[in-house]
Amino acid sequence: MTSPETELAWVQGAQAGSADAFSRLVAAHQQGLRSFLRRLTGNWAEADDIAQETFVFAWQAIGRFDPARSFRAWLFGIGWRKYRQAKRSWLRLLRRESRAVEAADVVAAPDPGLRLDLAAAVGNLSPDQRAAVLLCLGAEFTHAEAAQVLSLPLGTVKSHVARGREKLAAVLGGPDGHG
Amino acid sequence: MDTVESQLAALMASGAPPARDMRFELAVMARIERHRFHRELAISAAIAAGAGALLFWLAPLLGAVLQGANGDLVATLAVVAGGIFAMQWSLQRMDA
Repeated sequence: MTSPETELAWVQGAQAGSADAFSRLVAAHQQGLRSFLRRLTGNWAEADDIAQETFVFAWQAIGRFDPARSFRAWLFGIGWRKYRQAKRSWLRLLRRESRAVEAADVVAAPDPGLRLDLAAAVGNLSPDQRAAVLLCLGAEFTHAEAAQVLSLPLGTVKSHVARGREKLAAVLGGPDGHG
Repeated sequence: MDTVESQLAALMASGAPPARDMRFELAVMARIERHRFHRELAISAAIAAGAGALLFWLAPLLGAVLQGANGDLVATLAVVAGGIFAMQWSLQRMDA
């Protein structure tokens, strides 16, 4: 786990143009960002592609980032917008088709020990709801951070999380998911 | 049984890449370098095109100056040095 002071030093280094400092930020956040995008897209190859685009954009825009704010929330916000753009991009659709065989191998990989119905239920949530649930319940973001990531009002995020949680709990067989 | 939160965390973890993934990290940095290279190439091309246009525009004046110098090596070198200095200044501004 990276301390906030260390991360701040990396951010400031990257803002000064240090590729080395930025590569440390990539190393520190790639796992969380890719996990989030993988669950959003349901396609690991596409998620990793979006994650790479996210980091490239972050590098280009890091001069505008306010170090007083959460770097993680800022980064995930870029990832979320890239995901939304990707869903609209016909070009990516074509590329996805061309990679269908490769991706199918990865997506079809089983989740040992996990309830596949939960994965399916997450996939059935609306994109905003899914993102809010994954951030707040799966990745330990606060509601305020998730609101920043998704560019949504705080109340909307809370509502998405509550409703999404209800749906997932129903799948798991009880009000608190105790099956 | 686990709560929604713990099961979701487990679900996220099941799809999580490794904490350190050199292949991914290198791919990101390579992509960044590629973007930077393309950007610098575009800017260099724009500067070269601008310099070419400027030279074309100034050609009659430069010709007159150099002819007036009548083979004066110092004057010729001064014009060439000025051109090189202008190019270097542009490239430094681009890096900044």
